[in-house]
Amino acid sequence: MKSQSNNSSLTMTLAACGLWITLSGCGGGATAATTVTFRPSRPDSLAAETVAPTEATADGAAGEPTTGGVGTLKGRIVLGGTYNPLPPLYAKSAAPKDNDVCGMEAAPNQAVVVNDGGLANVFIYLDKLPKGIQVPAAVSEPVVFDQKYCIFKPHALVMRTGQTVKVLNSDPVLHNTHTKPERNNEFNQSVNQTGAELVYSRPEKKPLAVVCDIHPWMVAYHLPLDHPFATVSGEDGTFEIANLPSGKLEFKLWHEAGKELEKAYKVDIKPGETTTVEITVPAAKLNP
Amino acid sequence: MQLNPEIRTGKPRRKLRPLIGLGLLCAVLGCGEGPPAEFSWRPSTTDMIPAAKKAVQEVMKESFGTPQQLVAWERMPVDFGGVRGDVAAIQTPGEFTLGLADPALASRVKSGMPIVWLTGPQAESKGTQTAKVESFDPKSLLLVSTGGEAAVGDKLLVGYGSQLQLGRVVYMKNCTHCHGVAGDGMGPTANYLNPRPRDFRLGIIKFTSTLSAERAARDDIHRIITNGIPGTYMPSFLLMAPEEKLAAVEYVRWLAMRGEMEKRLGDELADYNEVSLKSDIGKQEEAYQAAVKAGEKPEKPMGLPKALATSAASFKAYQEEDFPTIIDETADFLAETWQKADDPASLVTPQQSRVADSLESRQRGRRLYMSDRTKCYTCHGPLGRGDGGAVDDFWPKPGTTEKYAQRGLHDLWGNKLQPRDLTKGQYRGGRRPLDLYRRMFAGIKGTPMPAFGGTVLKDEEIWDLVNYVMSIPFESRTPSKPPTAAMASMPPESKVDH
Repeated sequence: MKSQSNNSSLTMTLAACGLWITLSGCGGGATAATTVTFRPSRPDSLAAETVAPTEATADGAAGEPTTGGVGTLKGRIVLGGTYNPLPPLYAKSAAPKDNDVCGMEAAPNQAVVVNDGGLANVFIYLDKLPKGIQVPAAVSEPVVFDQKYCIFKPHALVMRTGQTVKVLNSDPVLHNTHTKPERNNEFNQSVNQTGAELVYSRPEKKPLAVVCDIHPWMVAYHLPLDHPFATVSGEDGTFEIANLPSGKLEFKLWHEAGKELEKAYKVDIKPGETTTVEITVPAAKLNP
Repeated sequence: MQLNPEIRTGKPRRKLRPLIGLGLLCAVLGCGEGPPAEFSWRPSTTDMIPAAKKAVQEVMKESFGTPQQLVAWERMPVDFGGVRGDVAAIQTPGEFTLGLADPALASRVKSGMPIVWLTGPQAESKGTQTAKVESFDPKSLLLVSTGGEAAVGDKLLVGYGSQLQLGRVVYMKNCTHCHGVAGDGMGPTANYLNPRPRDFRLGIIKFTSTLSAERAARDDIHRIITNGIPGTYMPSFLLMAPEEKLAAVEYVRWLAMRGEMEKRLGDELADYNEVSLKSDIGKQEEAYQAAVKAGEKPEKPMGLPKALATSAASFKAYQEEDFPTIIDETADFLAETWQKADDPASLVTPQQSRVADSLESRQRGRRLYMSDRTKCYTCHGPLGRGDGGAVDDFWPKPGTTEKYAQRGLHDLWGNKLQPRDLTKGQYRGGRRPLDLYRRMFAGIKGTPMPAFGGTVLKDEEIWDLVNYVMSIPFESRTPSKPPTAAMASMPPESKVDH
């Protein structure tokens, strides 16, 4: 056709120009000029030979408790308002997986556990240690973390950094214990009756979840800390922390349903005395 | 522009000449450099209150720099290239013997490399180039520099950061379009790829030769770049020059460390998140309004401006007291963890050499596959098609009671993950038996595939499973008797019909 052949030369020319532009390159970030600046490992290590971190300071050192005396904090966490017990995750013999093992017992919904009005599984812990405290040495015994009938036992656990957590499996089926920490590295190991060992190297800011990738309803919470001033409230909401350094302390309260319940609960610990408190958590704060 | 159809000519028309001229001009000038590349920020950083955001971005800029102005932070276990040494002895002004902690590093010093003085008379202009290496003799360690005086004991860097710069060029040319400038897996082509390119910023790489809790070793990243990942869009860079590949490995590690640092700082400063603060205030307002309507006399909640001011003041105190320690602890943890990844103790090495591939071994492997000891079939399916029961469940998001919107398993990056279809015979992390052994022993990082080695399975059992898995693609697709759960309870000696 006439118009086609007349336009073919136009098309050819435009194509040639386009090809030329493309091949000449559009410049870009790859070949941009770069500079690299040296940053010494530590501000004072410019003249140093080694880049290793300095030795840990006294905060982590074992020693006697503070000379100011120690006291005890005792109390109960109470749920304020109405509480409707949560139905179990599955009834007996109705487990979605491995019913012959997991179905041996109904699986309680441990998101909110209330007995006699007391709220269980609340973590009470010191987030920041007051200055000058000498932290008691860590215990060398391991702490046990088990799973039976496809439920983690205990549901909430506090341990020290560096302390061995013996992960046990009292079920004849495979479980895999998978931690989801923020500061530490993840632990994801299949566990049989022999068990496995887990060690947290860093303290966490708040409790971390531990799950099983085979049974999706299984969950527990761990809180590794670099001091012993922490505990978990019992079935009826009671708790006790002994050997606390005396003085004004601020505790964090954490629960899996309401997350951070108290950012800084203030108590004044007197040496040689027991301070008793009752903390009310409004039911509205918990969103299971 | 009217084109006259009656004119037949092979030459361009007059009216086109300006167009052609413009085209030639563009071709000669090129399209220019374009805007400078920038590292993207995580939502956890951009959602912070302004003071916190500024603090985190400053720390990141000081410690890692920008894609154009790189910072080689010595604390990070990255091989930046070049050497750090001191003046051992002076021969003549401008010529001295270089003292190195490890004499083997002498081969890295090349002529033309910049010299940066850390101490001594030339160190006033710290961090900027003042001299270059004119010549260097690796045997006598005699260095001739273009610069001025030096005293014995002066510390200097030669070519420090050169490998990082090379890595940056290689990465920007070959990797950015998928993996993004910051290694965030959000390059321009990423939206068209399934599976998506890896986001390095969690510090996790899936296919490694290291233990479950360790980071990826340099060898792992090098192997992935060399071989690619079959079944994905990650190509093989087998033909890339060796020094470019090594430089790219270091740059990827550097990006991963940078990303992990930003993520961890974001986790530490989660209390100063402006978006969640606004949503909390919103909820409080709603509750207040509802209570007022109900006739109660509730306490008036803190308004948004006051909440932001309180948060800013709280952050100011935190910044002075705790933040520097947190930065140090996080950096040390990162350095230690990444350093450990290349430790021989972190490598997964079979203690038992491979069990020979035989029918009996495959049968043992199949029994293990179907047993409750391993539960492979719950994800990978009874026929190995990746259709086990787990893909029908709604799984909870990690750390919450909330479930994912979609059924099935998910990885750490939030992508929906299908368990591997073993009938295809395509193994992403490598198809050597050793690679499959490593997947089973240490699991796959960032995914629900757990580690079986050391606790649940002995080495011989893992090899049996490897033999079985490698035979799955060759099984007939519809076996006359598909494997059943009852097989798990059969004694190992009993014959298994195919």
